[in-house]
Amino acid sequence: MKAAACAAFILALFLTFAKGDYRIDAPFIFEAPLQQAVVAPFGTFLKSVEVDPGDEVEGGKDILGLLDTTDLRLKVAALKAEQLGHLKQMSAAMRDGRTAEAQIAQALSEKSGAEIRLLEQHISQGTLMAPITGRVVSEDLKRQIGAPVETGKILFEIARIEELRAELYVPEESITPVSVGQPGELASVSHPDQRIRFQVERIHPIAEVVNSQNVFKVRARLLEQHAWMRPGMEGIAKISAGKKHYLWMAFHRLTNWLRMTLWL
Amino acid sequence: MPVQRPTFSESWYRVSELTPRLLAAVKVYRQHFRGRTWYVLQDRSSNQFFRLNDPAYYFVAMLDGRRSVRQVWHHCVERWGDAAPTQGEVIQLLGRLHASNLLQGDVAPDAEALFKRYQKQLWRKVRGYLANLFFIRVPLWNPNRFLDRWVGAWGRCFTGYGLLLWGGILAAGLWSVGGHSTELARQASGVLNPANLPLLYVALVGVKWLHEMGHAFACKHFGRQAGSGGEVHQMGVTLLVFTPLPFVDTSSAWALRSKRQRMVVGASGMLVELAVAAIAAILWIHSAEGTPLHAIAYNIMFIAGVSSVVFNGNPLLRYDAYYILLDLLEIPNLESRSRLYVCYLVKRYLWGVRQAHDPSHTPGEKGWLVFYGVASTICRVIVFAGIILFIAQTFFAIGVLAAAVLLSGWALIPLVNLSRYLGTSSELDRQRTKALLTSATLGVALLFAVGLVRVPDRCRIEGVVEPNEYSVIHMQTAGFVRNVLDSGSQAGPDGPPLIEASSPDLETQHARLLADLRQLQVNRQFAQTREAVQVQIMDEKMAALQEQIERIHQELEGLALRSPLAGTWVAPDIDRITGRYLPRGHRIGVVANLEDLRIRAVAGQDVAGRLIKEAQPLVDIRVKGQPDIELAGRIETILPAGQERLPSAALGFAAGGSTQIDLEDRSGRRTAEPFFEIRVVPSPRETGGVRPGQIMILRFETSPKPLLVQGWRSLLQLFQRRFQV
Repeated sequence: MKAAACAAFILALFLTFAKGDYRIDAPFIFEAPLQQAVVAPFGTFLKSVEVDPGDEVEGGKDILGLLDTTDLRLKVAALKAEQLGHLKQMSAAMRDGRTAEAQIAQALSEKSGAEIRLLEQHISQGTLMAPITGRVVSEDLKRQIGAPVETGKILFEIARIEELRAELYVPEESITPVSVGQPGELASVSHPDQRIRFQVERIHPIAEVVNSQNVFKVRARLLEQHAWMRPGMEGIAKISAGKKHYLWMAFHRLTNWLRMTLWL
Repeated sequence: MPVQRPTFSESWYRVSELTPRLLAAVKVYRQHFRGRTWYVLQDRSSNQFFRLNDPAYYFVAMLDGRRSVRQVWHHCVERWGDAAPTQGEVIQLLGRLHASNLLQGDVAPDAEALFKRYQKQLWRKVRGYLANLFFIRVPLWNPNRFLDRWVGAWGRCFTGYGLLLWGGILAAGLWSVGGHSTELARQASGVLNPANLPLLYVALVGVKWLHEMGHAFACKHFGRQAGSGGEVHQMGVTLLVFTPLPFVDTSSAWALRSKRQRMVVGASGMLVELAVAAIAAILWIHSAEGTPLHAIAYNIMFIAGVSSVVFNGNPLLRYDAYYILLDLLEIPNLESRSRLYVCYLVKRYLWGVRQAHDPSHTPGEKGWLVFYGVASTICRVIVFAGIILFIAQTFFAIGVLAAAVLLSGWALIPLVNLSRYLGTSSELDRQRTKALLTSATLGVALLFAVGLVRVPDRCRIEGVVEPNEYSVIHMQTAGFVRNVLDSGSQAGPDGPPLIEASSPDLETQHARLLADLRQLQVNRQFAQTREAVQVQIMDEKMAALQEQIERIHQELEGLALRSPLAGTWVAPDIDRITGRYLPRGHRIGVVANLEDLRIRAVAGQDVAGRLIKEAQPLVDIRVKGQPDIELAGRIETILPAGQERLPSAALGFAAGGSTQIDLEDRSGRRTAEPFFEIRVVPSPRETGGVRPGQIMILRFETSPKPLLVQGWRSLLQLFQRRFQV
């Protein structure tokens, strides 16, 4: 009996005065820091696709796919013929001393030239190159070969998945103790046993509603990277936000709730 | 002591020569509570129970039909001294035994008296029915033989192996449900769907029947083991809040001597329910959604879970946990005695009645009695208020009737009883003036405090923090994104562009138009020398062309977006849009001045009128969920017209806010009914811990009013809102 009372007393003392690591829980999602989209530069048809999802590509070297440029080439040929005509007209006018006519012909040839430049640029863009080194993370396009694509449609997304970062969704009521530079640990749903250390890098200044919860997005730099990690994986992160008394940690939610409820 | 328990009674002559004895059918069991020995008397024919302490039992046991009450009492006084029952107590005891039909003897089986007694009992039963309008019992079946036949098989559940099996089932159930919590919660919203109600009721009856069977078998099993009691003679239907449900009468479990066994009998219903819930959980997981089995399993799980947590697991209501608590604390009749004890405290210490009877047996009980008396009353009021509101929503008249019955039972009748007691009770003979004075003073003070004293009248509403100055940045010209400014950087009209894009089409068009212009210029020069009319036409053409070029030039300039105001550039996903083609009008981010904040508070219909009329300009503000961050504010404006679009989705129900939203709306920002926006300026010094987008609780103060006025207003609003009265 006495021993139990002593133990209880010591436990109470410990809970009141000893401090522990105060950790804030928040769901997270892995993100690729560098992710770039390859979009259709003009409206045409998809001619071929050279990569599969997950393929590694090298920036500026590997071809992702080809767009149909037959029409453009025909147009360029026609425009070139037109331009040649204008140029001939111009030199003939110059030779005969008709300055005005020569100037008109020159302007017309420049107009065709501008159009030819655009079309040639389009033709060169018809070969879709990887903009950065990384992996293809967008869905398979092979089934859409031959389908029309409009300007701006996202065809491929390339992400560098070797260096991921985590985006934490910290609930609004826990954001106050969070500051840049705090360490923490996170575990993903797919590998719950593996703790990955991270550091808070940036706190988004405005709250947003994500999954019907008002949260602040917090970006974390991962201090270790593993081969199994992929963008889009989710899990729970714990931010270490300083030392607090155990008693405080056990009851602060309850006391906060009581203080809010009784604040009549 | 002698003052509190007068030994002699003036009515003694009426009973002293009687020679009663206990009925032959009465069985006696011995139990131990808090170190005291108690005797339980059971009349097997009517299944009535009666608990006596040691001296009282000694007295009753001595009554053999030959000795007179006087003889027995003298014997008792010699044997027990001060602890012996007093004459008054003996009369009370005999009266109670008589009323319970446990006495037999020469009380002159006078037909009229017997009839009166029967009538009285009948009347008491009817009154019990009326008081327990919600809990009428209709016995239908005597399950004793059925239980006797099967107890051999099912009774084994209440052994160590049974417990092991039960633990296994429960673990398996939890294991299969684990990780499906979101699905569980999602389906819970459909439980009160009208289409599901019949299924829910069937599941309810099934689960409750198994629950009652659990009690019955446990009672039977332990009764057999102990060789005493375990008779279960009543099974039937009880009306719980107008819903017929099965019940079983296992009051014979009182006769069990072992405290542990009695507790197991009390808990067995819940144990069975939890096991059923676990089995249902396994079925639920392994059946496809949409099949009847799946739906039934879910309903069973829901009912067993809710009923064993809220009702049967709650010792403050008179369900299973209450009886387990009685045995655990070893305080018999906790509920009625706690009320008596509170009454005693009032009599003894408020009115100064010296000879008031203290119903507590041991000092250790007193704390429990007071605590239980207060806690159970509060709990009961809350639960019944909830039930009445729930009923009144569908059946308004029944709800009002039930409320009237309850109100008269809990407030009116006690008040009448109190005044009758104060006026006529002989207990108060010496202290009547004092008692009347203190009660009247208290009553008047209470009325005064509630009805006249003005207390601050406040209301709390939610609001969201927003920068006062901000600008949403949209793409001005469609284009391919080439360069972006990092989110979080400072931006301004003179700062770096927020986003740079390119548009080859537009550039080509520009070049083409320039060439056209050149051609026109040459043509005009050429024409000037010959035809004046042509020149005018060409001039007009050129002006139009120049205008077009100017416009395209502006569009090209718009590809490099600059901030219209100085502030922080906030666009969390901006570094992932490089290379994309963004159409004109695409939202990219926000430039906001994070130093100068406003709070946009949402006042619902119930408080808006009051706030518009008489709100004081100063407002107390706290961050939601963080009472540590407190600041003051001042009302800037109250927008005069009602609105339907919330400043932030976080204020709506769906995201944990307190404003009801239109369920059809996917953005979660359309409110179910118009609200009034109040803009509040927080005092600038204290906005340290506050960030834009955060939800704040604002406390407005209006002119002080008495509590009664405030309460009446809330009640009227509740009625209007829920019942459209």
